[in-house]
Amino acid sequence: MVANTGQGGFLESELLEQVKAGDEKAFEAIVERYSARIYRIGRTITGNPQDAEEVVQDVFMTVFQKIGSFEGRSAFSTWLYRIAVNAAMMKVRGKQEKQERTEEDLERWLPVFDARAQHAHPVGAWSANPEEAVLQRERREVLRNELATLPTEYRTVVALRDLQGLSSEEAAEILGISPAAVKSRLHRARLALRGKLAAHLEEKS
Amino acid sequence: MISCREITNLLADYLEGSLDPQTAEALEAHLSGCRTCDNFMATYKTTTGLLRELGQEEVPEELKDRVLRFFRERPRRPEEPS
Repeated sequence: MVANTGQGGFLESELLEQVKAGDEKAFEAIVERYSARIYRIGRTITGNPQDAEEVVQDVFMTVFQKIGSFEGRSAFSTWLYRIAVNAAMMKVRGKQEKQERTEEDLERWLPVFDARAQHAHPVGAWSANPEEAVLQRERREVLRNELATLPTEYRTVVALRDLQGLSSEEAAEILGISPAAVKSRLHRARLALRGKLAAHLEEKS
Repeated sequence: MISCREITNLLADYLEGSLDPQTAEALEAHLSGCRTCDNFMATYKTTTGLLRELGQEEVPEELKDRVLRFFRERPRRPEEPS
């Protein structure tokens, strides 16, 4: 029997006790609840859907095998996301070491300032147009592709903060870095992505 | 007077609403007189919004079923009930 609050929500701690006791239905409820989130983290870090799906499988196998060692000192989601980030990083290390992007690749896309700390280049507005939904979808696609070209540590922070909606503190706990480092990486990643998107839109116009 | 470079460094905190009121006010005063920074902030905000939308994208419909099938068909360890 899967623990349920009666309002459609799960009492997660009860659910975890049931998973620990080997209850496969409870495990399925955890898969139901988290598989999409793990997939999106995996997709952003690895850059492709096939690897993302393998990440989801690896993560839930690890969860099933290691749930006994989860002591509840951090939130379950923190523990789970840490496993997901590690699984995705393993895939990246295994496959893309030679193509791994560097900090210099990212810096090319950051804004440039002159000696008076003013923008060195003009910055145009991005037009809205009547086919806004199509435009948004196209921009999202460009962004998805450009995200895959950022160094892994930046993709990871974007996955947790912007895509997953976690706080800097939560992301910091998962990644084992300071909240200040999370904020700094996130801002640089967004700046670089803004630059890449701007270049794409200018190319088109 | 706050510079364009400083404005850029403050954007994330500004959009999160975590700047102190005085700094936020100085930033807004700069934006109202600097078209370049105003455009920069709007496009930064759009980029962030698009990233959040990526976090809502559909995942493959069969994902959960495939994960559960993979799990059910896993090789069992001797101590696991079959």
